[in-house]
Amino acid sequence: MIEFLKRLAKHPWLALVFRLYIGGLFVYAAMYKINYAAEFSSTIASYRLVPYWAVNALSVFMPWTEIICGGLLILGIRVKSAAAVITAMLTAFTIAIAINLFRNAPISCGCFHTIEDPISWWTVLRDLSWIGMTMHVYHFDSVFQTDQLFLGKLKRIES
Amino acid sequence: MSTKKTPAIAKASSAKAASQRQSLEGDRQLFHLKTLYEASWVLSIPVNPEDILKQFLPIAMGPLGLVFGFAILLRSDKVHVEGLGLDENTISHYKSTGADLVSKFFPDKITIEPASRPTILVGHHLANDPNLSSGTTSIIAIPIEEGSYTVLGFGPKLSEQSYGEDEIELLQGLATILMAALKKACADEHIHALNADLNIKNTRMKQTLERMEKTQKELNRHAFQLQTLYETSLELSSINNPESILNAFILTLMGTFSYSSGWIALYGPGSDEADVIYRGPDQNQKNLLASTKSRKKILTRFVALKDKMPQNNQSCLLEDAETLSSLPPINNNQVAILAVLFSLDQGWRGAIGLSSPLSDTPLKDEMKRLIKSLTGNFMVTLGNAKHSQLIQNLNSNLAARNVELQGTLDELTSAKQEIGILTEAKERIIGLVHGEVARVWRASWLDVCIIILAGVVLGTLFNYSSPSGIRLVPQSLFEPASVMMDVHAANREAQKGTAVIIDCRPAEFYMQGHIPNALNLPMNLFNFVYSMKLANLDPEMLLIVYGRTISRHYDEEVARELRLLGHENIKLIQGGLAAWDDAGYGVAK
Repeated sequence: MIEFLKRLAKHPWLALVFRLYIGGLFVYAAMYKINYAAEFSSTIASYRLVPYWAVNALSVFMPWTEIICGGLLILGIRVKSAAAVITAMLTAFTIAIAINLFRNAPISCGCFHTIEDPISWWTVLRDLSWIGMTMHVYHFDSVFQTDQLFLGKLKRIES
Repeated sequence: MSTKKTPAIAKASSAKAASQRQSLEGDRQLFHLKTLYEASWVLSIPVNPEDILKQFLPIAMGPLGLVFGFAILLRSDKVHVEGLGLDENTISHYKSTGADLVSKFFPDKITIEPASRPTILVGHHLANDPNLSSGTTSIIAIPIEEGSYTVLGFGPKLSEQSYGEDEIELLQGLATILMAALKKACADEHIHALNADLNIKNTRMKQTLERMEKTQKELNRHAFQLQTLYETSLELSSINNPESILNAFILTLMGTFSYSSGWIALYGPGSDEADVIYRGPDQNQKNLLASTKSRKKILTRFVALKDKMPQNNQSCLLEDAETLSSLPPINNNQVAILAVLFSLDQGWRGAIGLSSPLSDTPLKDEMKRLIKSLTGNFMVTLGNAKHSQLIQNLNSNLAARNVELQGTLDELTSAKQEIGILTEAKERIIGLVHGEVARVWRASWLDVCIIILAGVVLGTLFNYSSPSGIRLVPQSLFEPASVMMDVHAANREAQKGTAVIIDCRPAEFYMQGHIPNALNLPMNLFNFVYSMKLANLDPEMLLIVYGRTISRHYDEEVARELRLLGHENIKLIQGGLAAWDDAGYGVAK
């Protein structure tokens, strides 16, 4: 049973599910942020971690980075790199939330919408679970990767 | 009277006797002179000493009345003996001992003076000399010349009387005449011998001169031949073109040997290889010589003469009419007078034909040899020219091949470079593919950078093109800072009621804590709150604004908006809510 669970935990199809989930999640999250950059800027500012001169730029660039990474995960292109970037962003988000939780800041997460429930340790747990999924994708994802299909042919050419 | 007469008579008689003696003496002297004259006359006739001696003996013996006489002549170690009144044995004896006898009188080659005189020995003591005949009364030794001597001996007088003074004088005169005659005879002989020798030498000289003239003519001919050879060699050596060599050589032959027509045909191993030169009135002959028919005729001669020309670089002079008639004609079916066949290397065969000589004199052998020599020289030069032409052709072919080879090498080099470039491109592509394949299976900084860069680019482009786009850098960063005031001054103004304290932070933060009596005016609700609570406020009223974090300067943003609405008396609290709280003025919740 344990072995089965171990094999199940490492199964690439599970990684594929996580990949599609995380990818879709980031695409979805980015769609709103892209269209409402000013609101997202306020959200970032409410965390009080980013210097004020970088807040606007971050609010413009970060959603596009998220949507690119999400799209790459969905399409199976540069999965590991995209997963690494998403892991880094999720880690940053989690740390930021944790810090503001310790500050007792009355802010919302701002992950998907401007108006959300205030951050909580559940939010941290949720982000950690997403980090876990992303790391699973990083390590075990190997099916339906588009660039693998193309580069596999190139590898045959190389050989 | 008789006495007187007697002396007179005696005197007359003595005178008469004296006269008679004088007369006899005169007669004898006359006789002696006649004898000398006769001797000189007789002895002038013979031409050789032997005859002179033979003539002299009776001339000398007769007037003196001698019984015998002999003469020994020694010339060039040869002894000649003449005798008169002696027997053969005595003469033979003198022939054998004559040399010794003469040597007694002329020992060891005495020097003969021109004024030497004959030596005469007279006396009865000679009769007892064992070397002489018995009865010898006089000996005459006469040196003629060096190596030629004569000794004469005479027997007693018939009267057995001794020689008188006049007789000795006569004998001496005869000896002198004999000596002169002998010298003359010897001189004549010498002259004759010299003449004969001179004649012989003249004859030899004439013969030598004739030979010299002949040799001179021969030398002239050889010089002419050598000059011709030299000039021909010089002329031919300066020419490299085979056709020019043929032309120059036929002109040389025609000029040297006086022929008015001539041709040279040279056929190569290929059927179309023919070089023909023709000099003569019929120019069609050149085409005829170049034809296959003429070629066959001449090459047939080579087959017939293969024994005479077994190898290449040889020539053969053709003179017989039958052979010449088989060669191509020169002018209007006129057969060549002289022809030469020659062969070169590389299978080249040729023939020279000459005709219409300007002189009817047939060619001499040396001229034929000269023709052969010239032909040999011509063959060497022509062979060299052919070789030179062959080398030039080979060089041309080699140069062309070198050009082709260079082109091929250039193409190969270009192809090699292209292959190198393609190989390098392939390696790069393979490396790229390898890198890409490897990169698929791992996270790379490059991908991360590309993702972030793509996010930056797309975000920037979209932000600028979107109507809801925002400034990437906050505007307050470029504006002059607002007037600040410390918390204590703010507190005093608040206590006096001459100022309005505005909290610019979001409502959530305001709810957590704020300066007492502060009005919350967040930027997202600015217009609404301002219109509700501050629209009627005196613009001169002091507005004390606070609320900034690390991430946003809310106070600056609100102060800017307030200034736009006409409020000029705006001040920001130094340190914000934290400084207020730290000053102990209390925070309202």
